[in-house]
Amino acid sequence: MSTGQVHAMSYRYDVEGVADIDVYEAHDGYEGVRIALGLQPAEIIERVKEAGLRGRGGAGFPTGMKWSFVAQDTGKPIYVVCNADEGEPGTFKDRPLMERDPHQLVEGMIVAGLALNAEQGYIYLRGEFAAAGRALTKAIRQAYERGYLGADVMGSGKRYDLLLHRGAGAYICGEETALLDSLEGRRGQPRLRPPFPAAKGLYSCPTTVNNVESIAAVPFILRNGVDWWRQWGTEKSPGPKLLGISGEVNAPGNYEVAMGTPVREFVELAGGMVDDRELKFWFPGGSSTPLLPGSAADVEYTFEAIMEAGSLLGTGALMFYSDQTCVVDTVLRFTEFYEHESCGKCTPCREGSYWLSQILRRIEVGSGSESDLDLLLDLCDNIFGRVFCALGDGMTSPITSSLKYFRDEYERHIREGRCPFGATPPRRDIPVLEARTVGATVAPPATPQPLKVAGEA
Amino acid sequence: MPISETTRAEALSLVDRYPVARAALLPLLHLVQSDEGYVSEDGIAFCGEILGLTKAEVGAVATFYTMYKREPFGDYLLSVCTNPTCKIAGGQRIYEAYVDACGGHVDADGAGVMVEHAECLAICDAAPVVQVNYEMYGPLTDDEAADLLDKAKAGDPPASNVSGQVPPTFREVERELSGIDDGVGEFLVEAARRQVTEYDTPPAYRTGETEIPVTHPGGDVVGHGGRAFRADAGLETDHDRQRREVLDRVPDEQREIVEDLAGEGSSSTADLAGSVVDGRQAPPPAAEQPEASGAATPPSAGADAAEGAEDDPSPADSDDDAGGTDPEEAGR
Repeated sequence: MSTGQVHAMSYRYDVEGVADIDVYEAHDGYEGVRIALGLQPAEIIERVKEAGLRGRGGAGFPTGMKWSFVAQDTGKPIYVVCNADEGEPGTFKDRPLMERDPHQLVEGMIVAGLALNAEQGYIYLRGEFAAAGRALTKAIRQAYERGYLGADVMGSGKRYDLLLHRGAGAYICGEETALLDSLEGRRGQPRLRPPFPAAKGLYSCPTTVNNVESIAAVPFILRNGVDWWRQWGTEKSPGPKLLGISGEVNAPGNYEVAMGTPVREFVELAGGMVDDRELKFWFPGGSSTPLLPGSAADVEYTFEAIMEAGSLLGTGALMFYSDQTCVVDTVLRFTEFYEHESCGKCTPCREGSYWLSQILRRIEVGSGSESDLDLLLDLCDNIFGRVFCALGDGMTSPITSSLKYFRDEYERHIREGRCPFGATPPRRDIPVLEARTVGATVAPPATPQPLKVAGEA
Repeated sequence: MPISETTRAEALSLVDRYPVARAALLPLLHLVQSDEGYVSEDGIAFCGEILGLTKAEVGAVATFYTMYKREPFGDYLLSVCTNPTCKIAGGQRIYEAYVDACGGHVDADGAGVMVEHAECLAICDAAPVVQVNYEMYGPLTDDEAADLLDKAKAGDPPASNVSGQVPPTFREVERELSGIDDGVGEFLVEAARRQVTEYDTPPAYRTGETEIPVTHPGGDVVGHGGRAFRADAGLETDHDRQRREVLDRVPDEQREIVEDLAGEGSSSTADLAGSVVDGRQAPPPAAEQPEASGAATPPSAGADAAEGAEDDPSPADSDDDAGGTDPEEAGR
């Protein structure tokens, strides 16, 4: 098993002009569609299963299995939806893919459509990605012109249309059922499951929702084969993985690595820590995955090993923070993120995120008490597993994990009555309402006026 | 601000791209912003009119998403990421300096700018990052950030060091985001038409409804807007249908009791279906839950009746935009 940096799905990133269809075609472009057209839908799904592709959006659910759940023969249209609402803090792997090699996603969407007998695909793109939107718009237009999209995909008689739909700024829409509600023109709020989208998703029709990277991987698997894909990683976590490496490293950036590479190598890949600082804590896959201490840096980057280490692989967003960064301040800011992004549908998340922020802020500025730490854990306990969707569960991750590894740092804040790192918490946009005493807003006349009642003399 | 006739025509063409009209709401709101520069009350009413939704329903959506601005500000929106990686790198400082320099979040002088704090913008390798009309800039020093604000205020922002593109004005970028100029509209309209007409069961209008005849493209008077309106049009309402289906499944010996409960010919045709729904034990706020429901049914209606009500747009429907428990009943 080879480890380290690879150029598998990103091998076209630096090809000049690859966002244009001519260049893309010259680099194996749309070969996946050609192959898929020669296969039965079930055969495509079977290959994805054999490759062991696991969803790249955070949950790591096997993509082939997810596709096999999509209800066929219901008499309803089937929809393929690409989740391009990349917003998990620290994650930046889908946006570069779409900006640099947009046809890769278009090709993946067509193959997914063929695998699922779908005639319509939607790319739900995060609204703030203007540049990615332009690249995809051009790619889709060109794919229509060349006959990869439309009423007769490459002369096969099969129809497939692709619509680029921009979101409007809501992290929650990265949750698949909230995304579907948003795509239907509603507030993006998650749905109770079952029914799962595979049975009743978009417009109550069978639907699959997949991450950009998952969808883009499928043409590679068809073209290069299952063995090619499995040359990297482990039995349970095969393949290459796109990463966003950020934080206090010298060369933060978008990297592609083999699954199974020790995390330590990622820091080295990114040029080591800034100013030779020491790694204090890191997030394996976005802020919703429990943070791990620097001492866990030797863990192999696979779904199973990261889970064994007490966290989750998440979206492949690695954030490395040094001994100069305050854990409490970092956790506070992430918690404020969840407070801002909670959709408000369920109470534990809506109210819990507010109070967690208040308590963390109190601790960070040095006004906390020892009992606050247990209060935080108690609140987290009342949120985790008691909410509609993963956003609520995710918000507890940084808090519970930081209290597990860095409780002493919280205690220092409380003991010293200040942030030992001198961090200043974000200024609040919304002024805290001042309590008002009960009483009249206008001063009453000096002499009390007797009440006169109509009809009484 | 009144919406232009051009925008109206474009709005209708956007709606045609989706097999279910309401799906066009987010693009429509972007289009409204491209016309008005923000989403005004008129803009809300306009979307409602196009889609047959109430202003409350549209307003609920418009206020949910951060990219819809509810006040005019001018040509440039500056979004400063303040998540931890950017915060450590100086994002918080930049944001606070912006707010101080503008004396708040909006500075209408010059080209007009709005400053907002943004959550992670998915470009952490360029921390700290500022977006000008969704064009990325980073990593920025404090001075570079201040310069960017000044240039935006002067109506002359530089090209992004990430994409190499000069940001269009806010109205221009919002037009892009609406998708109106994507150039493949005709294909999408045909695709939507097929989805509605060529399948045994077309895409449903409302989450959880599977039997509703969806009449799209174009203004869909049946699938939208409430019972009274549809009754006037001489069409069977959702509630009429549910009621009929429920009654059809009630055993003969119980029918009289059930019809009494339903109040034959009363104005609240949904009462029966409603009572079935209400009889469910603590319905979770789900979009649709045939599999999960049906446990608690009213004694008079029986198990079969509950089955008939499964497709009911129940109070538990996630379509709670109207603010009432039942979107059909609210505010009519």
